[in-house]
Amino acid sequence: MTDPSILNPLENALTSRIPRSGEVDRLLQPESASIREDYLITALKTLARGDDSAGFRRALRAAAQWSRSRGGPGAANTLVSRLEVALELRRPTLALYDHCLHIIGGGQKYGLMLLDALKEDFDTTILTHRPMEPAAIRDWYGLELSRCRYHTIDLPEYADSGAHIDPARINRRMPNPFHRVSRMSGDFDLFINNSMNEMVFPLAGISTMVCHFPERRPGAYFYSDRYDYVIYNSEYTAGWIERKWKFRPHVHIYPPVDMPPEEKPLEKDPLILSVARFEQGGSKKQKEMVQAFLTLRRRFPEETRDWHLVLAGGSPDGNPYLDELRAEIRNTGDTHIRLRVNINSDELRSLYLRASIFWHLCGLHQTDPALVEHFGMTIGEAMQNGIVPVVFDGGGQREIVEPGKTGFRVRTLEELIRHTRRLIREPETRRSCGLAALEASKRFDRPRFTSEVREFFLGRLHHYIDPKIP
Amino acid sequence: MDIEKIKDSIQDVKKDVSIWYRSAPDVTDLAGGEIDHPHPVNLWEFSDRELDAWMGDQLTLLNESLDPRPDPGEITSHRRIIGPVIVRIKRLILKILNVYTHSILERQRRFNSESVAMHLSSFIRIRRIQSQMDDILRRMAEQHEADSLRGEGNEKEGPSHD
Repeated sequence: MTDPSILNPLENALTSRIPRSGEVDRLLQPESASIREDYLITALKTLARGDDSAGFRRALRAAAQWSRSRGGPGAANTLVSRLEVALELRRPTLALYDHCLHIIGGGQKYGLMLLDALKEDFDTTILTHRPMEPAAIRDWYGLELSRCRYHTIDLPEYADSGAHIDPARINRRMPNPFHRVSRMSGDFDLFINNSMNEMVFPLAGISTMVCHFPERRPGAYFYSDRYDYVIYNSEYTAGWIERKWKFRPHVHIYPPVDMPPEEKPLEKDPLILSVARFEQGGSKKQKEMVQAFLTLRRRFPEETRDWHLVLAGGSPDGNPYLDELRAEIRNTGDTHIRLRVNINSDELRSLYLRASIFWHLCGLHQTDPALVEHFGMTIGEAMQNGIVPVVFDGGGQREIVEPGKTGFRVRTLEELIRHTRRLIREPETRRSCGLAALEASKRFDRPRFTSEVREFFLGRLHHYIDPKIP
Repeated sequence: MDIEKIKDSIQDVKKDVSIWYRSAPDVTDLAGGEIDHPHPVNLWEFSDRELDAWMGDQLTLLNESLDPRPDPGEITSHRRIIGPVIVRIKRLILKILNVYTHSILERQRRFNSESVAMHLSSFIRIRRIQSQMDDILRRMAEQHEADSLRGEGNEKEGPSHD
């Protein structure tokens, strides 16, 4: 695999009494930066297997100095760290960075599940800007990450901003406060930026950014294109990365959908379910769902006599949208519509188990792509429970639901009503779509996520330790 | 080779590398070269929300740099011995020139100030119009849906989200 026509002279150049950087430079000149590092690691590993300890020391010093001259102290640091792991002198280290980890959310869950999938293979560290504890992660996401180190990087610039740390506040006239994270990233073999914070410059041996959606365009301190790999959560996100960041991201890993029923899905109840946050701006469209359900009941009173609509989701206290929604439902006098706010996971599981139809309308009447669902984890959760999804036709939802087979996609409330009525009238369609949805949901389940994460990262780690030189 | 000898060699080099790393003044030095590159901005690609943020940022930039008068405090020198002398001479020259340039630069400052205020008023106006238009479009879409739901009305295509 390794090319002896370069490796032997390279080892000689590195071990020569007076290390000749020019010689090393000439030998490695035509290769790209990453391949140059691969050659150096391979040469140093070969020398470590030999008997000449003084030569090895000289070679290592020469290689570190050469790396520094070509890529700064960061490159020299990476080379020595990589050699330690390659010679099995220590376990590889991994840092997961998320500037919003202290806020519960789907993106954060993605990053932590990724970490959970890799925790046996790396010494892991979680980097945040607000203190985090394993107990909170256990409560919020049911993940056991107590063996990780937790490190809080202080950001005095955001001391007055409470929980919300918005990188968009930083412009080109200010120093970049996130360079504290950039500097620290060099302490790890693998650095994963899970927060779409493109202001962190990666200095680790292997650097990865997880992009859930490209919120900002390239501007001041934009380094997303400096990561070795960018992972994306859906083709919808990949398309917008290409449009906004002007490069094609590298690895597609769907988020883990982790709501499998503990028992086989029951005989379903006549229940339409929606699970979505009650956003203050109304982007999840619960009011529109109420309107559609009332119309459905008014138009087809006999067919919908036993049917209920349950709107479940999280909300902070004093949410005006939720207050208005409550008032609207009360004013209709229809007892078939129920709100379930901030329910626990047991109740949520019970709703998923019983419901027949799932509504999700995020993106309806929306022109801003950032406000359309980038993936739609709750749709996947519903499908895992054999519920037929009827969802808005846009964003990542198009990748989840195959119309007429695993559910339906709609662009208007009228279409929502039409497809829902069909499902109400045709129990056989409901049953066959539910089974197809259950089967299709395996594309998004947690074992699949774990397997894809491990395959990708362990493959990169393997190359890091034992590079195959072309 | 004895594993302990390998460890010693690595620790020895690592110490130096660590000093290089810790003493690098900034991330640009750590990376061994310029890391910040200009990104061409194509405003036509921006969504309304992005344009809004961009305009706000540009207005702040203009507002912060509207005064063209030189600040004597900005004159510095890195030379240890003759630096203070150079600084004093430069400040003196600036003071002398100020007699001639003050009125011109003051007029420019006033113009810049008025210009920024004018831009700001346009920005506020555009924002209000945009907000009203968004509201009208939202109501129209809701009305259309409501009309459609009341009867068996025609379906309207929503915006595309390819």
